[in-house]
Amino acid sequence: MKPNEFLLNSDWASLKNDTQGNVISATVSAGQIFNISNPLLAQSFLTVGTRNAGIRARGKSSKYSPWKVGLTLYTNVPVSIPSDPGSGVFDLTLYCSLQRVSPTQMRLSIGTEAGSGAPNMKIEETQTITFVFSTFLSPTQ
Amino acid sequence: MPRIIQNARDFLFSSDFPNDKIIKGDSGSFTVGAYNSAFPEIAHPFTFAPLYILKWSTNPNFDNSFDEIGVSTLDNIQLNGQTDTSKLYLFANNNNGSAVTFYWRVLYFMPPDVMASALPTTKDFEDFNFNTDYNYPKIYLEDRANSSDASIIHGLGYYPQVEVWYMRTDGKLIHLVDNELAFPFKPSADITTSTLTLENNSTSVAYWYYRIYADET
Repeated sequence: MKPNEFLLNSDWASLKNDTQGNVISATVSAGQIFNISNPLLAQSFLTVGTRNAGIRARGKSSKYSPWKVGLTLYTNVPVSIPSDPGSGVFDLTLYCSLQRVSPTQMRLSIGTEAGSGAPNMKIEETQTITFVFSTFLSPTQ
Repeated sequence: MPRIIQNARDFLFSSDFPNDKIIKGDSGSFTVGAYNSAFPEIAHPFTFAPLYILKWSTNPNFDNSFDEIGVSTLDNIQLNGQTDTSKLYLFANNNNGSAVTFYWRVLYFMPPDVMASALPTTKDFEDFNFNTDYNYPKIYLEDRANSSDASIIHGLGYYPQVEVWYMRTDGKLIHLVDNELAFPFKPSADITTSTLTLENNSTSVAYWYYRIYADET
């Protein structure tokens, strides 16, 4: 039999949503100082009742309106070097990820790409990252 | 009879829309030494490049689990996948100082432009194939977009759940799991309450597969 001939057919397994349409957000505040060699800026945990789950998520920042497919969101975050005001303001790439860290917890992490030897950076603009995510059962194999 | 779109997401099942049909599942594990990479190749039985969802973990029970993660991440360990007409290709990096075992699971789906037979998968998975304890994503729009950039109007009025895969010109099919606004050399997909926009961003995209579900993410 051909799967694409059927709308619903119990001969084939289907994705099962365990949780659906959940919202989580986190804020990176203006004035926050970090060193790029230690790039994690913020992380928050959300307890959900996931069972052996996969994750699909999309997110957007407060600066850009389109929601992005997938688990990571990149945007430009204006930063400066506090010890060198003459360097001016420039952009870094913001990275977000939503991960399942235990059977009952998801973690949203916000940071920048790793580097080493860079000076301290100060974020110039507050950004709130909002994710909407669903989880689905991962077949027991 | 026309499909009833209003409130489709409020139903667990709706016979107005197709649902996902998993045509095969597979799993395995492999170990990558410290500061090393590995590229396992896993054969699949299909004559086409299957759509896929890949999950991985460092724990055999999948207590922690991750989607595919691209190159530019904070994580020291990464796993990506690709398919073509014969294999699933895994790309694993371990930038830790000790060996890491990757446990992976993959689900395969048939592309919408393929009309082939597939063996039932009922016995491979959960005890129940359909169970009203859970929601079943309802495929509202599913197609192949035969251009390197595409714009698909869905008009649902909310941000729908979306899955996107792109076929590179070298015949490798890749599940889009991350995006970059600023970095130009990576395909991207933007969602609004009315439109899905697919952009190749100067990469070698031959065509896309997309699924827009009548469900919110």
